[in-house]
Amino acid sequence: MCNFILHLVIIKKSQKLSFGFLVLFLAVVQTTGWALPLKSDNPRKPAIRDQQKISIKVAKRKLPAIYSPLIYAAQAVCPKGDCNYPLITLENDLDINAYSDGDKIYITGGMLSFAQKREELALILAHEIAHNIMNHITSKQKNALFGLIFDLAAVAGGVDTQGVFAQLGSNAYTQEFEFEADYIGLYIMARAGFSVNNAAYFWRRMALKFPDNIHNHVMVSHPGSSERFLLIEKTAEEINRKKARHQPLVPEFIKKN
Amino acid sequence: MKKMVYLKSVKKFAVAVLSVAMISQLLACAAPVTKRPAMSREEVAREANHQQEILKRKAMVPEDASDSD
Repeated sequence: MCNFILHLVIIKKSQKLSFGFLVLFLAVVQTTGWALPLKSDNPRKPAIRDQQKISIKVAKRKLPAIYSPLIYAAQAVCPKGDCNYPLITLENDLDINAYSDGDKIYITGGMLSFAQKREELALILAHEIAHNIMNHITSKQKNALFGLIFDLAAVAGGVDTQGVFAQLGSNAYTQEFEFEADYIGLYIMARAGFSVNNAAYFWRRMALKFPDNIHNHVMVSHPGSSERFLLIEKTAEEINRKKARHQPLVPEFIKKN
Repeated sequence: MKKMVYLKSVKKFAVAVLSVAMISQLLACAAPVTKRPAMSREEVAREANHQQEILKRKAMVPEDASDSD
């Protein structure tokens, strides 16, 4: 657990009050775990076609049989020992999307009808489980908070940054977190007994649906579909190598000195 | 007087060191911790071109044709 170390720089008397509020605010955030509102993009779209309704229903019926083994497999890589996250389906949301909030996993009707195979649904769900396991939401909030400190310091100094630093902070490492969730997620999938060999092809289908996301863009939260395809392919090779050598299917972590 | 100036500069230096320590600690806490397979730029470019090719081919086939690659 990372503890924030706060220390006084040299503060003018007039700035002491605002700094006091900042310290109080940070203390509240740290002790209560209050979440900074991160931008959510779920605009509702109208009219579910009959065919889509059916495919959503069919996929929804398959979900428990896919999700249960994933959750069971996730316990092995879960640092807290309890990673039993409830799965919420948002059938009326037709965006092709799935997300996690640290406690729960959400999947939209749009994603349920887009994902054609069990393996594709497993890939998406395992990715979101991995986000929760790795505490990515908390990490993003910490980064945003770090930026917010600069914003508040700038405001105390008479400069209105309009939350630029908080935004920059919340965007820090977001693509890295996505890669990490893909990486850990594929291990969860493999441990749950799903085949990982063709998992990457999901990202070629996504490229057809969202051609603008083929290439990576720096200021976007998610990596491009080409990079995600490659990472999943390489992770699948790593998993298959471990299987062949009868090594435990656990992700590789950076060794701390 | 000289002693006061010296003390002030020491204090500034300590504050700077602490600030750097705090920033690095905060950044280290929020970074990913896994050792993922490396990807070269060439590999990424090749895959991006491949996806663009699939997209072009898809644009040439009628709407009701299969989605599969």
